[in-house]
Amino acid sequence: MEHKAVATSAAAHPAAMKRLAIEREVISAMQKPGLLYWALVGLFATGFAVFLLGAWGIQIAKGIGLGGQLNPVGWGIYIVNFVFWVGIAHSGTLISAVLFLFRSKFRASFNRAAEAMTVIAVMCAGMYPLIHLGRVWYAFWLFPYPNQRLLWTNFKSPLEWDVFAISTYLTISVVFFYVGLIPDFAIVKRYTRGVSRHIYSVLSLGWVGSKRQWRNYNMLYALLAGLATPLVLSVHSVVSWDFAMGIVPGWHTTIFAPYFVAGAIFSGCAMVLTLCIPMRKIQRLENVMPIEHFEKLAKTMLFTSMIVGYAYTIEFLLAYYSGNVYEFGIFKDRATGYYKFQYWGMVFCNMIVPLPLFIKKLRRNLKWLFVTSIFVNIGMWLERFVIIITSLAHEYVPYAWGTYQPRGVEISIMIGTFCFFFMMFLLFAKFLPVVAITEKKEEVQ
Amino acid sequence: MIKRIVDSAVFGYFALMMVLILLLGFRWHTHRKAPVQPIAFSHATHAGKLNLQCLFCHDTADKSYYAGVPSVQKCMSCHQAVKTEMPEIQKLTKYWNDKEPVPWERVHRIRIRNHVYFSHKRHIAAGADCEHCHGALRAMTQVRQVKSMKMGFCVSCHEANHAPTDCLICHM
Amino acid sequence: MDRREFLGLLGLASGASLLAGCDLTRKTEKLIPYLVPPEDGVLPGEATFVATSCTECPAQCGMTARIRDGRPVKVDGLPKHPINDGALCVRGQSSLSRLYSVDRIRQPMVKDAGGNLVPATWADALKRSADALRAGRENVLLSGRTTGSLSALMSDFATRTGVRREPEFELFSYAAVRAANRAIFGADVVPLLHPDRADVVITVGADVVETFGNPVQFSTLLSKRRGSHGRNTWFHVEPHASMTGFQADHRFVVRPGSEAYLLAYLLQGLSGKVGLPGGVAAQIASVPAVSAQQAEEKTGLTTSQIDELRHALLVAESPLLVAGSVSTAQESGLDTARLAALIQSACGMHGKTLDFAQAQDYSRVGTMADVERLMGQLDAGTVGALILFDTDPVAQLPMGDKFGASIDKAAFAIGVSDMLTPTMERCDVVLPLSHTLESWGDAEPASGVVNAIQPAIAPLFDTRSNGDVLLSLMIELGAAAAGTTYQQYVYDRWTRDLGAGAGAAMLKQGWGTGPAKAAGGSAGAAGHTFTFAQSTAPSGQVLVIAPSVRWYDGRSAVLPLLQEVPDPLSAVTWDSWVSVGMETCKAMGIEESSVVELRGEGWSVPLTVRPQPGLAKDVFVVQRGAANPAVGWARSGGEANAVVAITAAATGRKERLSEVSGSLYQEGRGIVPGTHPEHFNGDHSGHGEPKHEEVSFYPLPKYPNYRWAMAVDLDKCIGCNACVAACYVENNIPMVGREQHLRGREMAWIRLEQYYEKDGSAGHFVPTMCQHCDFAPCEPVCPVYATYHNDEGLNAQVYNRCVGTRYCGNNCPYKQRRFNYFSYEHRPYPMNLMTNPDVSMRGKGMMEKCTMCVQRIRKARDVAKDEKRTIREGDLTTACAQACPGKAIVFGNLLDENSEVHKWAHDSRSNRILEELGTSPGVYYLSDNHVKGNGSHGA
Repeated sequence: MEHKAVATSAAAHPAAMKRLAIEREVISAMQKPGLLYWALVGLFATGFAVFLLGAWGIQIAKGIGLGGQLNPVGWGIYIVNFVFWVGIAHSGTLISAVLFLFRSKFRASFNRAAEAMTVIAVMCAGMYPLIHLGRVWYAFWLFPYPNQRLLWTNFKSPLEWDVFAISTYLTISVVFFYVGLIPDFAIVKRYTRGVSRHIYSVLSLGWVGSKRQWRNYNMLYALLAGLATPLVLSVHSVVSWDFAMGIVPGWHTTIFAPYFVAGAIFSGCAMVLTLCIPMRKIQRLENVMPIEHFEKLAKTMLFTSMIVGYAYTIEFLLAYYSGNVYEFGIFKDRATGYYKFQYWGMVFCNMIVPLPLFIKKLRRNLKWLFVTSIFVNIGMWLERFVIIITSLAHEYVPYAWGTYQPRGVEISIMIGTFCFFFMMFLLFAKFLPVVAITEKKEEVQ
Repeated sequence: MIKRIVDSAVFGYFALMMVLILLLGFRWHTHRKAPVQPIAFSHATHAGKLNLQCLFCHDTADKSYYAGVPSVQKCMSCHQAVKTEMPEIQKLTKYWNDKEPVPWERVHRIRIRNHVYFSHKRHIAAGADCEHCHGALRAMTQVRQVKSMKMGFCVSCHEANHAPTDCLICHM
Repeated sequence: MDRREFLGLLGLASGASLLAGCDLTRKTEKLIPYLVPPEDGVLPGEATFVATSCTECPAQCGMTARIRDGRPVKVDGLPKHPINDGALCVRGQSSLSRLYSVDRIRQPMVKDAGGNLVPATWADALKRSADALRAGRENVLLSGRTTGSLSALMSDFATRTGVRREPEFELFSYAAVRAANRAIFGADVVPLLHPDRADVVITVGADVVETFGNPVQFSTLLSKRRGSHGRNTWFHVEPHASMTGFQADHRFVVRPGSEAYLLAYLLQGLSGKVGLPGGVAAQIASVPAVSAQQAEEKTGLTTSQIDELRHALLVAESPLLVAGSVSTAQESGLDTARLAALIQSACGMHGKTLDFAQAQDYSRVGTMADVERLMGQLDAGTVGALILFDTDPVAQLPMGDKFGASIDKAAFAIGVSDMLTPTMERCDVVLPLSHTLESWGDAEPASGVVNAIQPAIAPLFDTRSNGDVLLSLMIELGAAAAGTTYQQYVYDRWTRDLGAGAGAAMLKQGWGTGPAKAAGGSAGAAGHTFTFAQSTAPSGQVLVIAPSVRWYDGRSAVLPLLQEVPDPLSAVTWDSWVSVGMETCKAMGIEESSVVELRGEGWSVPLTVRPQPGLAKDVFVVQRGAANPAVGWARSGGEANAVVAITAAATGRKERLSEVSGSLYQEGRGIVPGTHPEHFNGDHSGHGEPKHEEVSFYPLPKYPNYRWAMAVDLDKCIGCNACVAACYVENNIPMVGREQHLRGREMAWIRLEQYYEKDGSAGHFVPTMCQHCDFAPCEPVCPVYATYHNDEGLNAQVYNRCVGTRYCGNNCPYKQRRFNYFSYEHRPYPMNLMTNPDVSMRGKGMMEKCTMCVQRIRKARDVAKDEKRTIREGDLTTACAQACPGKAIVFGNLLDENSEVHKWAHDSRSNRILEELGTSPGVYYLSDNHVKGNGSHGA
């Protein structure tokens, strides 16, 4: 990359210099990646191919039975992962759309990364409903389309709602992500040459940054933000209804929607931290990603953590008050039964670990934040496991009780998705501006 | 100007082709090839020229849910005497003498493995016409499947004739 | 063209022919017509029925086989048969899987130089056998129990070929019972029991609804006195825990070996009775006196229990008391049997509740003494050729290996069997038997009743029917004219015994009634000194080897279907296990799936523990066929010993059992109809009308013509699992094997849930299947309408629309949906012939479940439409209902006011499971009369 031309043009004006600095900092993060980088990308790519595609192929050939599902527990960790990833996907919209509407400044540091994470996470989530299908080769039947059989889909089914919720969410977040990128593409274009310059210029859709373009752009962005905001609530509510609409004790409860949304934001923020803290360090973005903003994110996490914790407690009390032997049976089993370790693990990670964040010092300590965020990620995965598996394992009829353990193929596929996720994120980190340059510039007075 | 005309002509041509190919693809199954039968039996002759009733040979069609293929004995009941000089008939006689059943090739088949139940008896009892599903057999020297025999084909007819459309009628 | 030939043709014609239904044709694209159409107008795809006899166990119930396209696809009880009246037990239902078993011997086999069996031709095998039989030394024929023509033919064989016919070998020889009957009633038989005529039934050890006598008949007769029209009182006395025990109103658990004391005490109570036969009075006098308190401490029963028993016996107008099974198969067994017989005659049960005229003839069956004698001769080397005819002593005898060793001592051993049993493996020649469904013949379930046995399919392999094997041997030996067939032999015999032209009638009706044997005369009263007072009952830890409702004496354990169907008591499927009482578990510090070592003198066997509520302390139960410890046998009774002292030691090892029950208790959930969940408060004495409908926001679905529904009377259900086996066969349910059972993926569409009270005082058996709810939770959650509610009340499952989300399975509160985790649709030959063409084979990744035998509904509708009417009551029933020996299940149209199911559904005992969920199930349960109160008892 060569900066001279630009440098000379933006002469000794201080603000302009500042903006230029930001611009350069971000762009320099996109410098030619090193060998290590490629090694990592390659590693994750192969992981994705082997663990996910390979295992899935075998499963399709042999049958779902390779997994650990059994008669009472029809859904294994496939669905756990599905909910987990959808949850992760949430912070994206939250940080970029909601915080945009609230005009909260610290958003600018994370929104790009968060949005990228969202898009990738939704992709991961979207795989799972397919993976867990018994006859995935007929998955297209899930979409309502006119066919010679004269058949239609069942709009009463929460799973059908899911189909729409997820696809909508994917579309919106992709569009939102891209629209946000347009001006930055134009900037990046100026720093590149050759083929990539071409690509970036195409991607920037002929952006020149004229007043008129900016007016329309801001209008569009605000509208999109407005459109995306309700999704934060709706998508995960729908996901929660996959369970809440069922008759299964432990699922069939009204608090699921808010409970899941809070949980989603919680896990989303955690994942943003997990990704951004190393990224900030590696790509030297200390200036564009100031500590204060991390602290704000930590606060959000702490807050949602308390909501989730509240939900855990109230669920128990609800079951207890109900005096319903099935309902309470489930919760007794969660706390004391076969899956007690998962349950208490969840409580520890999601309720106890975040508490120290009340201390400002710790909130501003990135190492601490990083560790916490890891715990929260694990905790939120366990939460989904506890909700889905334990409820199914100990339902109404004692004769039909059974215990589920994930088996090779399921774990392998889970690893595969993580590989996919990190592979994609690495690519993003090098080939797209990881921080919204233009917005950062706006901050400069 | 001329250039524009040429362009549009070329364009239109390809567009037309595309449309035609699509249409062809749509009705492709209706042009499935007729399998080669061990004996060149002609429905045109028997059902058409001689005007034999379908049930004369497929005699269980109105009694059972399988229409049934005539036993070799039945064929011989006529062909002991009739047209014995024809090579095809001699093939038949050979089968009969070797006490071998004729290995007819199956023409009509409901595609999905075995989750579909179909009763000839009920359809004939309801007064359905054989040729509605099996095509103009009276005109076919070589029988081939004319109708798609897919679910839509069944359902549309059921709806048209107010026949039950409960899934369990066919699928169980 | 004779029948077999025609069947053969039919078989061939359809072997690869027109059928879309059966997977035989899936691959072929050919249409194979008949060469000659079957003359008796069999339509392709239309079922025909062949009346024959079940031979899976010695009870020999009348059986009818449904033939589709030349192959039997289902067997059921012969309607109106004097013995089993249309019902068939779990073993009978599974006997079809013996016909189609992959383990069948497919051609004659001979020992080669290396000493292992290799395929051979009949000619060769017969020649070798004949040479051996000619060799000069004394030849011996040992067979399992035979009746009717086969028995007669065997005698002919013996006389004409000079082979000595040994007393027949049956592990359940009823030796003690018969000895007693011989002495007291002068009849060497096992009388048929009539619980229907009894107001008080007392069974001592005899597992009357499992294996003893004719269990199916007992169950059918018992159900006459159960359900809505009153109920007689049934006491069951046993040392262990049996399914029969849990069916009785009062289950009295006595110390092993103490039954004699109890009976003696009861007998004394009767001694006052007037009009006792002289001989009997004398006998009673000779019984050593047993004081009340002695009886108590020996049996371990409470005073009130014993008095209750005594009183019931005294006041009963027509009591029925019978002792047998584990109670007579032990040291004091003969005494127990005799005392029982004395009580029977003292109460004048014979002729009333005991039918000696229509009895099972065991006169040719020997005792353990006979077996020992034979072993002696074999070891002495005096025996030339030993013919082991359709019997498996090596596997069944307590000291089977010893017997096996003796077999080797014989100069030559000729085995006749359908499977390569341990006994056969020791034979020099093995002649393969055809299955009953491939054979001609007859059977005598009871004297005076003769079942026809006629082929329902041409032999699948190069095998011959038992009669024909004997005949071909005789022909080979020149003892019979060449070309004589058993079919002819049987025909002639029928004509002789049952009158001319009886044959045709027999084949049509399936059975005939011949001259009944004379009823037992007066007391033979041979003197007998009772020794139970001296004999020392096993103390400390005791092993009880109980008969198995699934495997009888172990012979049926080879059938995969009977491994797949769980044991009704323990819910164990594929494994061998030892049942251990709860106290014992605590005391020994063992639990489910820990392995214990059982040691007797000279033997020891490690077995996995299955806790069994209601089992007394220090009592261990192993089922015949599950394991076979070399426990020796009782001298006195001459029955294989079933009760022995052992020492059990925990090994500390653990091994998971393949069992299908999630919990043995209700956990306070009131699943058992008539009990209520803990949280339930308020009156729920069970009304036909579901209460929730008044408060439901949703209108009930509209059913124009039919609402198919089912009702189960738990008072009549004896928990025998016959319905389960029947369902497996009727609906092509895959047998998935041990591995998948361990993974919790059994595929049964109907199952018997067993729930015990925590104190083991009672056990409840609830057959559950898809409840076909009006508001089925599984329906709304399916994204593709693969499951939906049709306008006849059926919860339909459309297999080929299913994409396999499994949400329906999750959302079914009854957990009745089964998922095809793998592809089970392809069965190995000849098992694939068992496929019922009316039911589609489900593929990989599909959900399936009970359809209320929709294929039968379809058939009935077809017939009804032809007759321009609607389907009527009695036009059809489901496989489970048809099989049920207790006649506990009815199926029909709930909208039909006069239908049986409507009556039952509106019975005062009518309940529905988990009704408070508002699913409004279509299956009604009539609560068991002696189930009271609240599920929390069972919690």
